[in-house]
Amino acid sequence: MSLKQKVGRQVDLAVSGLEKILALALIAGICLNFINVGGRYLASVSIEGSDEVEIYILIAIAFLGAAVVTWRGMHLRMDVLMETIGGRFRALVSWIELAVTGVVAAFVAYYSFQYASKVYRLGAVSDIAGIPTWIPHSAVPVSLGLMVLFLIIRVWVGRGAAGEKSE
Amino acid sequence: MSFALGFLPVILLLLGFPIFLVLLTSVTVALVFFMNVPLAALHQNLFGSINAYALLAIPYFIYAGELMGRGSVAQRLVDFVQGGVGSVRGSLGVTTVGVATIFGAISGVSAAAVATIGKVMYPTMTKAGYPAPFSAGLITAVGAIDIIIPPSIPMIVYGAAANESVPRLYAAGIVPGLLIAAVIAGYVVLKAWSGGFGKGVPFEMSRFLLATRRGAWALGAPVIILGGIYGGVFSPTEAAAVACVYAAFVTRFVFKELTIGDIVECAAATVRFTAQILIIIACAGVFSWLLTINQVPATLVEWIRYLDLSAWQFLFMVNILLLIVGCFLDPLSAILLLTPLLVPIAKSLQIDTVHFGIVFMVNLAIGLFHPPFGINIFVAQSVLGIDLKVIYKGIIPFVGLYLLVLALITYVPDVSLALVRVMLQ
Repeated sequence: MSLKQKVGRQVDLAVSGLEKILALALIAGICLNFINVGGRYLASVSIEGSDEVEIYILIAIAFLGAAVVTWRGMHLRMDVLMETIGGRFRALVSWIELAVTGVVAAFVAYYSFQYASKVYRLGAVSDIAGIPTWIPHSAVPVSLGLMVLFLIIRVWVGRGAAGEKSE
Repeated sequence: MSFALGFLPVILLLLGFPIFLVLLTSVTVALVFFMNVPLAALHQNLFGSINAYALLAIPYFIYAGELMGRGSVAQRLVDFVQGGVGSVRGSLGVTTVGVATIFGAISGVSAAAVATIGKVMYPTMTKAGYPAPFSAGLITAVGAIDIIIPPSIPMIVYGAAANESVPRLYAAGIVPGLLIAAVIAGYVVLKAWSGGFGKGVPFEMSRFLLATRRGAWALGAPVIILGGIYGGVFSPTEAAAVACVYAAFVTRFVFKELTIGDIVECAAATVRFTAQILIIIACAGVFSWLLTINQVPATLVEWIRYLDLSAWQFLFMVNILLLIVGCFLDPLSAILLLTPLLVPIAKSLQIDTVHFGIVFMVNLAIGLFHPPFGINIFVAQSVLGIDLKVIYKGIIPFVGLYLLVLALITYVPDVSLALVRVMLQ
């Protein structure tokens, strides 16, 4: 197995692991919500701050999940017109897309990182659960950073530019 | 500015860029080159667009649908509906409509309905002598009911984008969804009579009761969801969470079809699907914010006032626009791109935003199976393994039926709003 194949395989495993963690977090969020509903009707109690935890899980799924989707080449797009155009033009567009994704994601990741760092320095915490809010804010730069990294690896291991689906 | 927020997104969209990237690139270009706004606003709006409790209902409903869509739920629903309407001419077609409607009240993801129901019903219908184009067209078209019947994922997204109540939207979707189902069922019966196929079988109470018993657990999901919301027991998000627990319990412990591993795999599939949607919602939030601070919706409202369009003329134009857009864009992206522009105009013309939302949904539902690019057509092609021409041939009458109901829903607001008044006021 070549180095490129090994790296591709390792990233596949890492992405599957991240996906599984997010899946378990989703199940945990659902359980929290269900326990809260049950608690409200059966014992007139609720878990304080559970809404915040659920929303932060949602934020993690949205942004870190988007990095997973990037690796798998599954982003929603309107590609019906491009599918009618074949060959070189499509390949060219695919490379332009890769470049645009890299530049835009890196740019936004930089400013998001600055914002999350500022939140960290301020020591802000959520209203009820007391969770440091730099944690959910970090999902944005981490996600965009991962997207850039995944795109570079995709191209390097020969899985094509952004427009082509993962194997 | 019109380059960044008008020309650029259209070009990138046509080039087939991912929709989140179309939006993110456009707002980044607008903020960097055309506006004097701190770039921290980019992060604040990306983050803030997802930081909303109401959006939790999206992954929860998708997960409930994923769980219920695996295993024998579809077959149980088919047996239940067939047990009730089996004596009617064209009963298998009517059953397809009925199951799609019930499945819509569980899942809210249209492609899943086409795949799940298609796998069960297409071989059964063609084996029973139903013409292949008719069967394929019917299965492809009825799946679209799912985004009109609550719980509908696109309605949650529209509710967030238009700042409208999801329970009101859900209540407003019930009659239009059932109306479409009834019109299609009526057409199926007429077609079966005129075509001489789909002879019914005599009704048997024992068979119906057995099917009802087997299908009761599957039928419990919509009862919990809708009963919970309109009985004032749960919010839509809580109803979705309860539906997930119910679906996991039923498929794991009652039907004994899913393992714990399957339940986690369903959650992983939900994560992928949710991320595809939510990253677009996040970027659309920034895009919408930029449109607002640049007064784009207000300018459009002024323009419509200048044209002196009446409400019905505007709705007619919206129908044409959405039917075209719906052929190319998935419903969620279309909602996120167009709601910030169209809803202010609708409000200025005194159109109820709940009614407008239902018109939006029905248009996008048609786009889901409208030739040549409706996504459900390709789902059906893949699942049923048939030629596209067969589906195209069969689908045309159903497009006509949906358009008929769309006209009624568009110009008779009470079709959508009467039940809202009854249920929520």
